Amino acid sequence: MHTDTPVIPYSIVPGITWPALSDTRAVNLLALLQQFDQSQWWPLELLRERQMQQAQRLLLHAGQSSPGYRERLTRVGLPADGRIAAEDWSRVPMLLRAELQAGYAALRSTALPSDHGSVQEDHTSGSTGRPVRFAKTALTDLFWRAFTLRDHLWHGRDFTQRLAVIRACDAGQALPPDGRHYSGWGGATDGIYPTGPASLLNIETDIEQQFDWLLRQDADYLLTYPTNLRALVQLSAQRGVRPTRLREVRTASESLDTDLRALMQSIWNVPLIDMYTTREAGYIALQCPQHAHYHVMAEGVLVEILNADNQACVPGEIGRVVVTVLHNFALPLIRYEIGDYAEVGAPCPCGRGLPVLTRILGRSRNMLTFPDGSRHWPRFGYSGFADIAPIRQLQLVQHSVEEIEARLVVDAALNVEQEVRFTAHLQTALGHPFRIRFTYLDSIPRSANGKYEDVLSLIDVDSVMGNTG
Amino acid sequence: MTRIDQQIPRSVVNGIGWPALPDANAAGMLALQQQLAQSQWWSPEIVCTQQQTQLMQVLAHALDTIPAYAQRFQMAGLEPRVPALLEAWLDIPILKRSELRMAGETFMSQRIPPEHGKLSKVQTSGSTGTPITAYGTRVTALFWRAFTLREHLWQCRDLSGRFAAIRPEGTLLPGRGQRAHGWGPATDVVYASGESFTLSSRTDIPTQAAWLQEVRPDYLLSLPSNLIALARHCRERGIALPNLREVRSYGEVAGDELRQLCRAVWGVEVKDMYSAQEVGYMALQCPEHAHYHVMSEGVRLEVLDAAGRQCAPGERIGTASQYADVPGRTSGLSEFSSRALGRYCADPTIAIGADQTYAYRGASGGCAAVDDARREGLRIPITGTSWLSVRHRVACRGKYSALGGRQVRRFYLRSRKYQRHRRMSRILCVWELGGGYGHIAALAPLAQALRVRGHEVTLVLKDLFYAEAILGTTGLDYVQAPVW
Repeated sequence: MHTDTPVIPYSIVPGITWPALSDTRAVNLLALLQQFDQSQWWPLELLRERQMQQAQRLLLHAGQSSPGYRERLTRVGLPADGRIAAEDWSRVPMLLRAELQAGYAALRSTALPSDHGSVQEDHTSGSTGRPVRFAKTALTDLFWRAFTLRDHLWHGRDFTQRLAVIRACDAGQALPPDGRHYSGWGGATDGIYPTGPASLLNIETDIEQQFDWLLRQDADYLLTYPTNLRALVQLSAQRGVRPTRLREVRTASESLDTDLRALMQSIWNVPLIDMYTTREAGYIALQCPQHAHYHVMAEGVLVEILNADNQACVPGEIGRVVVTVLHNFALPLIRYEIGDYAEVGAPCPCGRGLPVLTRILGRSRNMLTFPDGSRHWPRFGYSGFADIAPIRQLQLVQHSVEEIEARLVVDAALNVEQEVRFTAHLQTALGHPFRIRFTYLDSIPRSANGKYEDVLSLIDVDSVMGNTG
Repeated sequence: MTRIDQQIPRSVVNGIGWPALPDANAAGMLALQQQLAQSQWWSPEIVCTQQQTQLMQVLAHALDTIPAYAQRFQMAGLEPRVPALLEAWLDIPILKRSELRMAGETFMSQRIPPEHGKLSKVQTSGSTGTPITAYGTRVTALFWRAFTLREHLWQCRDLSGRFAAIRPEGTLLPGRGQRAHGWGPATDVVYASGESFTLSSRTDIPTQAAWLQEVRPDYLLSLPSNLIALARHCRERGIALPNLREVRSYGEVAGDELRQLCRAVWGVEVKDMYSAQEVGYMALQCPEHAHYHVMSEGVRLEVLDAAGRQCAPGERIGTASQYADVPGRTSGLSEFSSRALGRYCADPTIAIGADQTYAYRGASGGCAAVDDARREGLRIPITGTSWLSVRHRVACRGKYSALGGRQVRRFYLRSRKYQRHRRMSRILCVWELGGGYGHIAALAPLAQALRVRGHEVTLVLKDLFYAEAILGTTGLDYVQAPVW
């Protein structure tokens, strides 16, 4: 939804408001955006060429300043100093999540160029609660902000309006009933563009309180996680009331069920814009301004989607997401297997050369395993739930190839007939007559990083997939 | 070969090649380009609103720091307050070049904000022969360069190519070409660029052609009349410029003849620009068409009819001139008063050809024109700013050559003034008294048309040195114009 309100940066020169003559911080961002405006239309081959050149610079740096990477390169017979030809890229070993967890210290650069700015260490708690440490620089933060702005500009947001955010926060932060309030939208826009106010609420807040808070904010834009959004929309439908000014919802951090878009349109009548980001790798893909699929942020990450034979997937094929973060010289993430799966898309009709991902499918442990050994991400048929029983929350936990535990949060336990009907519904939706047993809970907590996993496989995933990590 | 839109700016951060992290000057330039890339697609209403916002700043500054402006407004019966002036915009007296010249430093701002940087002097003789001295600041220079770079980006040039310019600027000595690394400050601040070569347009045409054969440019920039003379010379002598990919023109109207000649002789297209030294860029040729887009981020450009009303879209001919101010530039923050005031008559004889239109691309002139353009499917003809002044002689002060010979004749012969003076038999065509020798070729079709009808036609030309090459076969008389 494009706005009629122009987006004009702050100007620091007296008497000049438009076009703005901005400060250093702003022009650095805008200079990147100008380049993004150009590169998004480049042919894929040119993007690949430029990515590979930057990836080679990164590998050279890693080989010369990271003991961990030197060892990894030596192990596969590549020059330890990182000077490799582009055609040898596929020989660079993939970095598994477990290897990053275990080898953080050795993988860090010991000689970060000073002009990359200050280093900040951070960690992502991960869905399993096993933290992944990583380091970022002022420069990687600049790219983060630039991609945030690209998303705003792609989707034509009106910066003068109000933004509401419901997401994971530090413990005790942004609690109900008020959450926290800010005068601007955040680091990507503050000081660069004038914006309206923003409000933040901790996602651990009860959904009823969340919805009341959202109504009070009367925001134009909402950012939250897909599962949380679903709960909000369902509650909104039950109450027969919706946030009146809302014009767009953004989602991030979890895989998005395709029916959620339709649900948003039917109940709130607003578009849903999804993003694919991770804390350690930054922006990986943003939703196309004209379509529901995603464009890889090729200017920041080299993304490989690899099949079981470690070959690049073709359009329509699902594979593992392997990311090289092109500008993080503090902790190089080179061919980092992030743990997600994605489906490769055909070139986008919008004309952008940026690679296309049709779906982001989440992690392998969110896949169900079938008796024949096949594995895939299930579709629940959420839309059919309401015909059976008022189910507030659902999580499927696979204990064996035949048995699935359906954890439900409901106002009243399902009666026998409802359980039978719901079992049949799930079996049909999942495509296999799994044994379904029901467990009733008061709530299904989010994982340590605030994300919600609606499918959890307790089967040894890695052994099935042949991975070591 | 790399098109500029695929070229990577110079990066100054260790290990980062792409996307580039450039130095402060380059980042500033790219930040402007990013804004220009956005604003070119804005709706006309948004463009107009932003112009108004910037105009308020310009007017406020003029009122605050230049007493002569306040007096001028008051003498015109206007309240010297910003909102009132904006509302009465069309009543603001138009500042003519002659007034500016006479005023000396009266219109000079007494308090230029230091952030605008040091002053630089601009001297222009202009097409009207009214030389003026104007001043710019580092801010105006930055905007000039930004529009220059926009033009390169729009036309997707390959900066690694060789760039040749044949210009009239007085610092160049005829016949002595200069060579430099890089295309100039607009490009070089951001990108690596190839070699550039410059030659004075006062060099005779055969020498220019020989120089071009030696330089073997990929791109050639010059005045339309010079380009026409060159192309004709090359055609007659069978001179090829095999590397040439595009011709750029400025300073005069690039009419059909120029475009056809360049296509026929060199096999290249012409990309034209509309600029004036004291105002900056006013319009650039559309990347996809032969017409122009107004640089609305830098100037408010009004195209007015004889009664001072904005010309309507589709209006083909009128007694008109264009008025420009520069809301995004120094805009009165320098000594160049027209920039402070607005409604400066940039040059009543410089025009975008009457048959040329610009398609709306978000940047345009006045709001009314834009509204009409939208109704008309987003095409706005810029009315010819041609001015046909007939007293007892015809002073051809319009760019009729832009119409093409037949259109010129049709227009002229229908004009009331012609009907009134159709018996007149001695006609003096004057135009270019400025720094270039140009407009000879532009005047020639009109002069010939008049001569065919039995009139005695004489052209007054700035520089007779080139006249023979251009007018040799036409049989037209010509005499030397006054030399300043």
